[in-house]
Amino acid sequence: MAMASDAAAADKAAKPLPRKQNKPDQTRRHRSIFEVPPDFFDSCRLFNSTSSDFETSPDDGVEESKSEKEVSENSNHDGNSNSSGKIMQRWSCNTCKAEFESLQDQRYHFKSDLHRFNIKLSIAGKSIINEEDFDEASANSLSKDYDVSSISGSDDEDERDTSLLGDRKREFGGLSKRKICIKLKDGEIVSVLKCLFLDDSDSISYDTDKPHFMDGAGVVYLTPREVIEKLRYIVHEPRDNSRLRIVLLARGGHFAGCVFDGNSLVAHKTFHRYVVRAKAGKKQSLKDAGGQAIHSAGASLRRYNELGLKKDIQELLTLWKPHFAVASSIFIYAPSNNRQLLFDGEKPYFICQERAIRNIPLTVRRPTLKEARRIYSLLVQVSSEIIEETTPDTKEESLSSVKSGNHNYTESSGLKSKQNSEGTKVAEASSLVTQMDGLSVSFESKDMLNAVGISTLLHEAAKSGNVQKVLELLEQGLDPCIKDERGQTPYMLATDKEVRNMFRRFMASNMEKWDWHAAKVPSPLTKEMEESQAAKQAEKDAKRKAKAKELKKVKKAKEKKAQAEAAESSNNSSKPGNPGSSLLTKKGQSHSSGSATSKEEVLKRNQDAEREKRAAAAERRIAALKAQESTPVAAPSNLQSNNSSGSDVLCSCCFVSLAGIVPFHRYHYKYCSTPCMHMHREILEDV
Amino acid sequence: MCRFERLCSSSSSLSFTMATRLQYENNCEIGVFSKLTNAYCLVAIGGSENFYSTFEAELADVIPVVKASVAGTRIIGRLCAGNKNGLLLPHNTTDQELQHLRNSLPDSVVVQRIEERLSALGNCISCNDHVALSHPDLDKETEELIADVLGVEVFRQTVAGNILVGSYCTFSNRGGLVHPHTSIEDLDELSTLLQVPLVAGTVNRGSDVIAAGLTVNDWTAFCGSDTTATELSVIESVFKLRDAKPSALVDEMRKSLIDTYV
Repeated sequence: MAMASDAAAADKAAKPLPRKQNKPDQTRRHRSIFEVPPDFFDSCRLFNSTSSDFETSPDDGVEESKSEKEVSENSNHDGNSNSSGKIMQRWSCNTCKAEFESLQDQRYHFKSDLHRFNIKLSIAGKSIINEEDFDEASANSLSKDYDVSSISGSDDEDERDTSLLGDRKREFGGLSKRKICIKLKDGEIVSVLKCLFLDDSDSISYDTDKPHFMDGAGVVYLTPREVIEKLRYIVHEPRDNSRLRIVLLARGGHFAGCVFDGNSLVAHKTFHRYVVRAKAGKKQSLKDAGGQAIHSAGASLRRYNELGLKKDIQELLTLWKPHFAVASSIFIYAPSNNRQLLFDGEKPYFICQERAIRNIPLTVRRPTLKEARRIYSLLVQVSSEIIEETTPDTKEESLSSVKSGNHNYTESSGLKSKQNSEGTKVAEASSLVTQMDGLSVSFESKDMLNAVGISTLLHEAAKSGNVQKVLELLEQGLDPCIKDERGQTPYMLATDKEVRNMFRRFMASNMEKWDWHAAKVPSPLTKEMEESQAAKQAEKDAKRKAKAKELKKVKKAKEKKAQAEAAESSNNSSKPGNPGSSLLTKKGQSHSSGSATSKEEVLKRNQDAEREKRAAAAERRIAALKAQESTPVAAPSNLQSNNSSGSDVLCSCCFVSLAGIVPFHRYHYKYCSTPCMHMHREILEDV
Repeated sequence: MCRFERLCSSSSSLSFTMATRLQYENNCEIGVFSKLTNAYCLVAIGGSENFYSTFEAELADVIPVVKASVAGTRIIGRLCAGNKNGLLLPHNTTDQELQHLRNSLPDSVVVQRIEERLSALGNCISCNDHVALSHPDLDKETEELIADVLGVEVFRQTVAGNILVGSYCTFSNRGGLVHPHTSIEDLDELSTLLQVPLVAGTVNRGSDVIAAGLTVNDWTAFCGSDTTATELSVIESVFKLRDAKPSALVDEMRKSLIDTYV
């Protein structure tokens, strides 16, 4: 975490001695320029290779936590002795383990910075500090050591989870031009940031011997000798508050200012004012200048705070006047219009030595004390560089030493899969493996290869569904248990059933050859099984066929029946004209002679007429049946006409009259029963 | 649905009423949805009318009961902090809400919206009319505003190791209830600091989030309907909601038992 390594950096700064003892190589890699021995830069030369890739060693959290524990142990000890010596009185503060003379004192204490600081410490699970420590440390690096940021104002820091290593790498990635590499007398190459001792406009000329000349554009060219002189001067600087370095960070309403003498913090101050309006999208202050000033309450609050921040900062700058007077360099980070907080046009609000102002060439997070310290520690850092040498084999070596074995592994596995896809034989692949074994570090055996991710030809074949190829490869002895990069065996990759069957067939014939369970092939597929399966399939097919036939038969029969009935009903429907008219004539007759004949006579006649009618109907029916048998084609039209015109509703399947029963409906068809419905549906579907 | 029961119906002449148990839409954390002070009472908008009317029945003739929302939410009790002198609202309060509150509260109450990163002011600040406990991470400016607007002395403190002092303690000018895990020493320290008697206890059948289950002023208290009788009696005694004189009880009994003195 960034925070932790910040603390580590601070720890390093604060206590160089124990750190050096604990971890010599760590300090060798990154150390403050103020920590190096006085003869560090003796007989060194500038190394003109700025293109080198910057490698930083990871900060180890163990180290940091250890030193932190020391601190906490010490203060714990203090606290214990404190508490054991005193008994809780009436006016006390349990957090700070303090007691007071009066209620006033107590109340005053609860409003003090010390109390607040101790609460923060106790919440963070650290030990509290007592008043004396607080007083003497408040000007110094106190809040740093306890990893609680500044007590005044802007203390919240949006921590990002990106590791500082990556952060640093990124920061230094674009920095190669801003660094100066130096080859020390013992051959070690170190780098320092240019802005530590050179102005932005200064440049180093490696080719000229002319000392300290200026070109037309005002760029000062320095010779390497001068540069090294400057470095040696920094190392030999007296630490008596006469060579200060000041860091000023301002952004987004946050301001942090720190004055350093070497590695020690002389003074610091942070401010925070709300000048950034949430969700406003853009800087609102831009609109103030443009005549379209926003008149909301929030905007006026912001304006007030902007003025307040500027006033605060200027007051501070005046207060720090003596510091600025002796500052050898002032590092400033104030992007875009934050610059107005520190500069009046080109002229800064503070008076300092000429050419002392430097821009910070690093990524700066929210300005806080912690961040200011981090930036400073990076600025004054002397880091050792790993410079690639001319011979490639040493490069290889350094690469393998830096990168973990794991990395190497994936790299080579990638190579192997590439080889495979090109179509080399397995033997070749394994020989490649042995080659790699000899070449690099981390291969133990081929078994290890099987365990993790390599895609083989078999995978390819299985994926593409090439049955023949799969068989060939299996017969050649390719291992079906090998998992690819995603941990899938060839069988798992097979999309085609035939390919899978091929695996199972091969499994059946070579049960002992491979661990088929590992290959994820579920069961063998023997010839007998296949035969029985085929038989089963055939049987199934036959059954289906028979069923279909039967269905057809039934359908036909139904059709016939339907036709017959349709014909009959059509005959029936053609009937009504005749009997009606006959009845009418009969009635007319009866009516005309009605007066003469008696009631009984009428009845008798009616009965006769009825009998006649029935006889006629029977005759017609027989005739119709005969006619239908001779001409079946006419039926459907009859049927349809009947259906559409039929006053009595018929079942759409069996043509039974639906009068008196509740029909089943499907689409516009009506059925007498559900079997009828199913039957009809099948008929329709078949058609 | 809002169900409430008056535990001990006091006669209307008595100025001190007992604690009332109620729910907000079947939720017992009524301190979340209401804010009670000596000068006003805020009730979350949108709840059933019963919730509001419970407060109104108890308080209407003394202080205004105002339906309000803060930042468009109903959790007003956790978002705002206030006493009889003022009301602090978080930065995400809308202008309309602010205007509504200014219109509905008495003129003596200063309504102020503050620019503080921590927006749940109710969880960060606990106060009566004279002192306030505040979250240690509040800005210095916020602390000054608390002191100015609410007219209180502000102490940065924790309650039983919790920095959310507003959630884990509730106190009026007469007494206070704090987190059950508060040690005796801390309890002593806090009560000397706040100058009110304090008791460690729970509400809502063992909930340690005191301020969420209980909202209290100098003469009445409302607590979640899960609160047990034991908890209730602790609340009533520490906030001095029962009439202090022991004879009051006897008087009341006598009134109900004996119709007329001969």
